[in-house]
Amino acid sequence: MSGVEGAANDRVHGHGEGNRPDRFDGQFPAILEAVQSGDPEAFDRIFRSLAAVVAAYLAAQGSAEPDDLTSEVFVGVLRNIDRFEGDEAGFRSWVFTIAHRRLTDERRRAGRQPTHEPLTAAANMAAPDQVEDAIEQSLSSDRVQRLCERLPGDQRNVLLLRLVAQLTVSEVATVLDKSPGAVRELQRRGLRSISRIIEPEGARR
Amino acid sequence: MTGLGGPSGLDDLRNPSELLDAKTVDALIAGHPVDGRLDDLVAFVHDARALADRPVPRPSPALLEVVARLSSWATARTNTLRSSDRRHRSSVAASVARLSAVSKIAAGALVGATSVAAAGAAGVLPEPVGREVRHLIEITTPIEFSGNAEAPDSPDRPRTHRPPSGGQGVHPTSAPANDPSAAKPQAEPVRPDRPPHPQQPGNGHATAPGQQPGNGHTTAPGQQPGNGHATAPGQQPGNGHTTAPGQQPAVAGPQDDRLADADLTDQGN
Repeated sequence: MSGVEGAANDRVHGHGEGNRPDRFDGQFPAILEAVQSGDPEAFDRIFRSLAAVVAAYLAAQGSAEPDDLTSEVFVGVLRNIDRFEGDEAGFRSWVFTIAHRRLTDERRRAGRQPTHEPLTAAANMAAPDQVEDAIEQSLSSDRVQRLCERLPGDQRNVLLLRLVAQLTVSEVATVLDKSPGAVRELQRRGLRSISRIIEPEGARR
Repeated sequence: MTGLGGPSGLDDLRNPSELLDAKTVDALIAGHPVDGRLDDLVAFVHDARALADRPVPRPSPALLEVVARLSSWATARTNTLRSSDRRHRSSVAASVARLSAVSKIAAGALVGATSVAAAGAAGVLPEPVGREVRHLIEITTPIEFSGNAEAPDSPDRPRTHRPPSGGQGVHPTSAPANDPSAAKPQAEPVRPDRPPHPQQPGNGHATAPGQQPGNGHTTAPGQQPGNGHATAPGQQPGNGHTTAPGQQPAVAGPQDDRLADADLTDQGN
C-alpha cells in the first residue's frame, strides 16, 4: 500500500514521439498474473505506470477532479482484473475504457460540459519550488484544453486518446467502440478543426 | 500562420488545414516532420503529448482501502494458506482435523481483517481475493459457498474475445454510458458488487451443507434461515456479514460504505 501511496511523488518520463514506451519492461504478463493473484506490489507497478497518463487524459478532458477520478478508475481495474485476458496494449485500452466511462459518469453527475481548471488553480496546487514549472506546464496544458473544448466530443475524445493517452488507432477504436476507419476520420477532422481555430489566433498575435 | 506567408505557388495558398491528408495526419501524430505551415499544429501535438508528463496522482482513500485489503489478504494468505494443501478439502476428515489449527491462525487473520472476510464473502473484494477469502472461510468453518461465486456482470469487465484482425487482446464490454459523443447507446450498467436477486437460486451466496440454495443466504448447519446473511455455527443471524466461529460479527466500516457509494455512482445511480 505504501508503494501506491508513495507513487504520488514519482513522475512518469520517457514517452517518445510516435513510439509508445513499454512501461512494464516486457514483464506485463508476469505483473498481470501477480495482480490477479492478489499481489499489491504488482498492482503498485501498474498504478505507477499508468496513473499519470490516465490523470492527464481526464484532466485534458476537463474532469473536475482528475486525480480522484483516476483512483476510481483503478478501483474499477482492481475489482475486475481477474477477468482480464490480453497483452499490455489490450490492458491499456481496457484501462482507458474505464477512464472514459468514469469521465462520462462524472459529467452526467455534474450535469455540465467539460471545463478546465483555471491557471491559478494549477499554480496553487504545486509546491513552491515547482511553481515555475507548474505555470509553464499549465500554460501549454491550458491551451490544449481550451482548444479541445471547442471540438465536437467525438473529435476531442479521439485526439486526446491518441495524443495524451498515446493509444493507437485500433486501441482508440476499442475504447470508443468505433471502427478504426471512423477513428482515423475523426482524428483528421479534429486536427483540421484545431488548425482552423489556431489560424485566426496566430493571425491576432 | 495564415497560409499565405510561404513561397509563391498555388499550393502555398491553401489553408493549412487542407494539407491534412491521411499521410500528413499520421506523420503529425507520430511526431515526424511535416510541412512547415503546420508548425502550430505540431506545437499543439507536442503540448498535448506533454500533458502525460505529470506526477503520478496521489491515490484516494478509497483506492488505498482496496489495496490495503489486497495487502492484508496477501499477508493472511501467506500466513495461513501457503503451508496448506487445497487437496485436503476433498477430505472431510482432513478438514475437520485441520480446523482447529487453521482456525487459530485464521482467527488471528480474521481479527485483524474482519472487514476482509466480510467483504470477501459479500463480493466487495476483487474476485481473486474474495475467492481466497471464501476459501479460507470454507476451510475454517462449515460454511460452503455454493453456486457461481462470481460477482454480477460489470460494465468495467473486459471482454475476453479477440478481434479477428488480431492485435487487440481485449475488447472492453461496451461504449461509455450516456456519453454525448458516443455513437451507440448503452444499457444501464449493473453495480458489480451488488448481489444478485435474492430469490434466484444458485446465485453465488453461501449455503451451508444440507441447505437448499433457495434464498441466496448463508446459513450454517443447525441454523434457521435468517435474514439472508452468512452466519457461522453457534452464531445468531446477525447484521449481514459473514462471521467466523467465536468472532464478533464483522462490520463494514465507513470505507466500505464509501466504496459502495462510489461504485453506485459509477453505475449511474
